Amino acid sequence: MTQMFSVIGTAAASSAASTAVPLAYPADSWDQMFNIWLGLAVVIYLIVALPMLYFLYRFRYQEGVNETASTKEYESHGLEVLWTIVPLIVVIYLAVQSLTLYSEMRNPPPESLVVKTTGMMWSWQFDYPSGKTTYSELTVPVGKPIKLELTSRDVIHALHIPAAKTMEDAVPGRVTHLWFQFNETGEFTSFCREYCGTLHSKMQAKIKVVSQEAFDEWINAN
Amino acid sequence: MQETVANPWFRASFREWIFTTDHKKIAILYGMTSLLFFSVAGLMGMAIRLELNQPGVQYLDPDLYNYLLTGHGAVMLLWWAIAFWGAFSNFLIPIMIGARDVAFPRLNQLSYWFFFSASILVLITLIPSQQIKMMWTGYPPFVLHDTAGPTGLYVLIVILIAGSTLGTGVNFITTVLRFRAKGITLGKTNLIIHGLISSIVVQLVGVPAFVGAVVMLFLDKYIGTGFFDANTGGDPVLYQHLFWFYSHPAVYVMILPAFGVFSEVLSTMSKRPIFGRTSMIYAIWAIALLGFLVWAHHMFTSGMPQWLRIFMSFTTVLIAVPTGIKVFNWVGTLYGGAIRLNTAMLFTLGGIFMFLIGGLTGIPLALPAFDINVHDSAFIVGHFHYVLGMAMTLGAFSGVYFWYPKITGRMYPERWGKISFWLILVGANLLYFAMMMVGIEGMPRRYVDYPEIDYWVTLNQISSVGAVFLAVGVGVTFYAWFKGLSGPEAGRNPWGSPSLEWTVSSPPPPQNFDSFPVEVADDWSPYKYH
Amino acid sequence: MEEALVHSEHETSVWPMAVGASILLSALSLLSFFHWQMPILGIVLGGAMLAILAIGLAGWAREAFQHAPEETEVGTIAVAAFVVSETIIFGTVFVAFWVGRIDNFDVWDTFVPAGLEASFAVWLTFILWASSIMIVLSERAFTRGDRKNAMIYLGATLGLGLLFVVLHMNEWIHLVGEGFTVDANVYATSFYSLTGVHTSHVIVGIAINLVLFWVVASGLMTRERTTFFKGAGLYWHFVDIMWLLVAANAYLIGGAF
Ligand code: HEA
Ligand code: HEA
Ligand code: CUA
Ligand SMILES: [Cu+2]
Repeated sequence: MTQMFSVIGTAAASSAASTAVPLAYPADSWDQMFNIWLGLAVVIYLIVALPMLYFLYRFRYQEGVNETASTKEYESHGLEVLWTIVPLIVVIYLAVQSLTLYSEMRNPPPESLVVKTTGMMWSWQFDYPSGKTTYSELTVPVGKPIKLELTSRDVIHALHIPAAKTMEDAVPGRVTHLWFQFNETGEFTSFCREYCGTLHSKMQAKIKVVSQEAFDEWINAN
Repeated sequence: MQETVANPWFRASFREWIFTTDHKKIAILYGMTSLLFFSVAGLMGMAIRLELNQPGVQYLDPDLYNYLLTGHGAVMLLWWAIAFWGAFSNFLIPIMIGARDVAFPRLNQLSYWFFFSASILVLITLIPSQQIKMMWTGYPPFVLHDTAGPTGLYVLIVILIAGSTLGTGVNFITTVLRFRAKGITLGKTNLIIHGLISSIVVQLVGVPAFVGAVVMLFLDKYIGTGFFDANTGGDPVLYQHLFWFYSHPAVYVMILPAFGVFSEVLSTMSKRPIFGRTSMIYAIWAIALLGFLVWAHHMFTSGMPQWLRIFMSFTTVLIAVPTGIKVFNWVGTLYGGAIRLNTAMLFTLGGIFMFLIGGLTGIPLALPAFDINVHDSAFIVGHFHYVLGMAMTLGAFSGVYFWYPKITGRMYPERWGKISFWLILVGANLLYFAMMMVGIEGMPRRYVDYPEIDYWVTLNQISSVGAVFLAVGVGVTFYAWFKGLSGPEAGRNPWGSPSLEWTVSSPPPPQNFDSFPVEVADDWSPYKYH
Repeated sequence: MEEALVHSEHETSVWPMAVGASILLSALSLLSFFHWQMPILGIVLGGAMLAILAIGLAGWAREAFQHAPEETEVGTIAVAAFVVSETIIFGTVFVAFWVGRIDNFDVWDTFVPAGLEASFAVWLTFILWASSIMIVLSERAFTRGDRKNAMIYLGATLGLGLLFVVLHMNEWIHLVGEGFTVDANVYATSFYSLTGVHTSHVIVGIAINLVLFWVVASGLMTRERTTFFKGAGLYWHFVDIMWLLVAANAYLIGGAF
């Protein structure tokens, strides 16, 4: 219940503590995009809603006071130009901002660990470069970028990692990718985000983030 | 086989109703069918809310849930958000342009029968073994899978609906181009006509793409072609491109007529001409046109080429500009008015305020940096319920209240209307705002079951409570409409509007106007109050 | 465009519902045949649908010509609007074709069957062109008041259209015999779809021309009301032009390079 307003909560917190290392990449970029948008959206909403509410009150029909509307023709090309140009600038700014952030979120650092990921109804298969294969459980080292190369064996799935705030579809016949990096150890869950039938909501994978040493040990064990 | 109908159109016999070629009666047929299916789909939505009230699977097994969600989505979009405007087009367009009827009255009736046939196919899906479970988007390869249910039904439903919209499209475009009375230029027609016709044009161009896509599904499933089969060189993402090429513009098909209603009601109830009338018309058509250049924003995570994501992201945000022009012009229209806050006006205002939220939450979705985390989450569901479940639905309700006196000749009970409005507004905001928040927190959509995370549960429960308020509110509106049938006589022009439909008696005479040809003064405008 | 065009009719009509019923039947017939796996039922429903459709269309055309008011010059706008949406339908198949063509650029050669002859497409083109010329001649004759020649030319249009369909189906059978079946590869899929979508339009065109032939022959259509004639002609030309695009893609871009 206290976390109900965590939408606004995280927004405030993450802008305050932007210098600290975030739990995971590219979640920080997403937070940044979110904050920019939320701020702008609230301002735009108020810019429209406040005058509207004021007019509704000020020009309400009142017997004997305001029975007929003004007959003056209000036309204002200045205003019309203003509210065409300003939104135009705002949205172009947003799209450019998104573009810069997105290219970071999209392009994995070259030193990434590549894990081949295959979706199937209703589980995930992970193939490590060392030849090790796991199902529905992804073990990764902390502090290292991981690149998942996704594909699917049957229908379209999508791997979403809430903690890292990123996702990509797994499509039969093509290889897509996403990348992320965890900066703390722990256990996280990933959800299937593309509708894939009866057990869509059960198609989860556990993500175990362990220290580099523990990872090396794990990957070398049979 | 033909005969002339003597009495007022609405008092016709059953036989005259079902064989009618009168646009007003066909409008009522559309409207009634549409409302019936809206109720069914709404109850499906309530069942979904019931299931989502707690984590785990309680009342609906996953397959049933998936069916109800498919039905809810498809029926709400095709039978409500699109088809209900068909009722408006039919009733209003001929009268507003001073015509006797549409260009092809028989084709108009045939369009209805296409729609009716599709309705029957939808009813077939209620049979347990015939339930379609592919979601309204019907992505392959899942659709081709046996667990998805009868693909053929989905495909044929779409095709029959398409037949209906194409018939309507051809008919109404011709009507508006050729049947306008002298003096009613395209620039002078009501804004709602631009809203309705632009959406009809979008359908005429877009629907065939959807038809092409589902026909390929049909062939892949039953004939063995390999359009979407990666093993023989096909491509599942191709379907998504074809599907969204129509289904994105389709969202403007649903909202542009609502914009039209907003314009009519705002202007009439504040007794002011529309501010920036010309820019309004350009904005409508700009939205309709731009709508065709943005489809891939539904596919930011589908593994498309990078340049396409960027291109579609930019074109999508551009739509905010013409939409903004419309919103600001509405605000400007209120300035200097004598504003009457009756039920129709309340619904319109609510619709605009809620559209703003829906629109502003659409903007981040167009930014790949944002969408990459919320795609297919409850945030999307919140976004489109704000624009559809609220802006479009409130607009449609507003329109019914506004033209109620014209259609029935009676006045609806104002008090019940207002009660309904506040119930709907409060309920819908609880329902959809909580949905958006839980989506930001990571809850995926199309989940019958979700993990027991505290705030997910709380937010879902708020949603469900909101849904109850909302449903009761909708029920009250239905009651108000029913009660209004025995309300006081409304008279020709209860709102004092100069628009053509208010110059004829309520309900309009069988021939629409008392004499032909209809004539308007040189300086006539549907928004001229002095 | 300014003057008000007014319908004087105000009536009921049973024919649209008959056509509507046949539409529902056709959907049920397809479902029975393909999905519910009851082919016999599918065929029966399909037959019933054709019968009702024929009755419905005939009644409709009769009523329209006997009772509808004066010409209002709306037919061409309507057909033009319809043609726009037809173009998009074709467009989707072209898109599918090109996506497959580009995605499989390297292996495309292995998809092309040996028996595919571009020259055959040229013959078919000539047939369709001839039929287009025939329908123009027919319309001219009719507006001159020469009903007999109009019928002869229209008959030629119909005959050439049928010839096109028969030859084309023959070609398909031949190709399928070579192992070029719809599920063989994405070229086969898009080849049959392009040509199939087109042929289905030819068949619809033939049906329209049949109705046209009947209203001309029975004298229902008079020289003052040729909108239907113009519309049918326009549609037939559209089908003809589409063939050029279809052939160029399916045979040349698909087969030769
Ligand atoms: C009536 C229906 C409707 C309408 C009008 C809209 C309007 C918009 N929608 Fe929405 N949308 C849907 C219905 C609708 N949508 C549906 C049904 C889905 C989900 C489909 C599914 O997957 O099932 C969806 C999904 C959807 C997605 C895909 C998300 C995903 O699946 O990952 C995106 C992404 O770009 C998007 C964006 C937008 C945008 C940018 C607008 C814009 O048109 C909004 C423009 C309006 C405003 C911005 C407000 C007013 C403007 C101003 C006041 C000016 C100033 C503003 C700024 C400077 C920003 N929508
Ligand atoms: C116009 C479009 C429209 C409208 C109006 C609505 C209206 C509602 N919708 Fe939605 N919805 C969609 C279009 C729409 N929806 C779409 C496209 C999807 C996506 C599908 C997909 O994923 O493929 C969706 C998905 C969707 C979900 C997401 C589920 C999931 O992803 O797992 C949910 C969950 O809460 C939901 C709920 C509701 C509710 C409670 C209403 C309410 O507003 C309904 C209110 C109406 C009534 C209740 C009926 C009439 C009332 C009476 C007859 C009175 C008496 C009744 C009672 C007192 C109960 N809808
Ligand atoms: Cu896999 Cu949903
Ligand atoms: Cu969209």
